[in-house]
Amino acid sequence: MINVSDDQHAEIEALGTELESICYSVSHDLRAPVRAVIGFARALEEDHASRLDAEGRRLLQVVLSEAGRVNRLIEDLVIFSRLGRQPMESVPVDMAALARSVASELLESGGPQHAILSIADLPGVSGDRALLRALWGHLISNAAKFASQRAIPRLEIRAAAEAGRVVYHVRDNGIGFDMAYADKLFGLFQRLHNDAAYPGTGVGLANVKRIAHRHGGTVWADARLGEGATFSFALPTEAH
Amino acid sequence: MDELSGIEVLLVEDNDHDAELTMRAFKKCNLLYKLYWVKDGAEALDFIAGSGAFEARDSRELPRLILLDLKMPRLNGVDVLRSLKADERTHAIPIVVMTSSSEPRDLDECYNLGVNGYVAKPIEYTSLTEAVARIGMFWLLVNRVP
Repeated sequence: MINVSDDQHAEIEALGTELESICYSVSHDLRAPVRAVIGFARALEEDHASRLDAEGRRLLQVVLSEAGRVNRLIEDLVIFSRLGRQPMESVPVDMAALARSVASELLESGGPQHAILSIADLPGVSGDRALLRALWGHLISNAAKFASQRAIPRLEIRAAAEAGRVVYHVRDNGIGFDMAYADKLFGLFQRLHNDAAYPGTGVGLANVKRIAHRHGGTVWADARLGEGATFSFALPTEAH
Repeated sequence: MDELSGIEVLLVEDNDHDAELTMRAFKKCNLLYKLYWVKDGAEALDFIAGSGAFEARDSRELPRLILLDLKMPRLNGVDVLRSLKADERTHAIPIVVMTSSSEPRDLDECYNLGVNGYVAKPIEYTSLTEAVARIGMFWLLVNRVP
C-alpha cells in the first residue's frame, strides 16, 4: 500500500480528469475528418464505381474499411473517456429487453445472418441504461465476431440470480482463447487475435470492465482455445 | 436576388465537407427543397434578419427548417438557437441541431432553449444520409407550424 497525501490524491485525480478530457476532445475532433473520408469515398463509389477497374474498386474498399476501423476506435474511445466523467443514472433496467434489442440491431447491421441466438429470461437490475446498452453491445458483438467463422455460430445469453447480485453470461461457440492470456482481456488496447481475421479496436472489453465497475460489479471470462468462450459479469441487485 | 428568395432550408455549418455531404443527402433522397448554406452563427442571424451580407434579402420570408451545427467560429449554434427561440418572429421555425457532440451537457442546453430536434451526426455515410432524409421528410412534409 502506498500512502498518498491529500494533495497528491487531488493532483492524481486532476490528471485523470485532464487525460479523459483530452481523450474526449481528440476523439471528438477526429470524427469530422473520418466522416468526410467515409462520406466522400462512398460518394466516389456511388457516382464513379463503373469507371473504376477491379483494382480501383479494391483500393476504394481498403480506404472504406480502414476508415471504418478508425470510426469504431473513435466511438469506443469516446465511450471510454465518458465512462470516467459522466455522472451515472440509476433506473430499473429490463436486461432481457435490452439484450434482445442490442442483439437484433447487431445482427441486422451486418452480424452473422445464420447465427442461432438464444436469450433466456434475464433478471433486471438498477443501473444506467445507456451504459448497460453499451456493455451488451460489446459482449454480443464480440461473441458474434468470434463465432462468425463457425458453420453455425451460436450465441447464448443467460443469467442466474445469486445472493445480492445477478450474474449474466454471454457464451459463444467461436474460436475461444488461451486462458493464459485471460488477465490481458479487459485491458485497454489489448488484443488476442489478429486484426485481419477478427477486426477490433481493443477498447470494447476495457469498456465492459469499466461499465461493470461503475455499477459496483465485476467481469471475467472463461474459455478454451478452439472451444468457444463465456464472458460473464455480475451486478449488484441493490442500486449502486 | 433570386438566389436568396424562397429559401426553405437554412443549413448552418462551418465544415465544408459536412455541408456537402448533408446537401448531397438531401438531393439523394429527392428532397428538392431550396436550401441555402451559411458558414457560422453570425451569418445565420444575418440571413434571418436580412442584415449584413443579406441586406438584399426579404426578411419576411423565413425558412421552414434550420439545420444547425453547434461548434462554429464567431457565433456558435447555442447562441443562434437562443436568439431565434427568444424572438417571437422566429421562435416557431423548427430548428434541428446536427452536431458531432453527443455530450449530455449540450443536449440539455439545447432542449432548455427549445430546440425541436437534436441529432448526433453519424460518421457512417449511409446512416448520415438516412438521418438527413428522415429529418427532411418529417419537418418539411409531415410537420405543421403555426
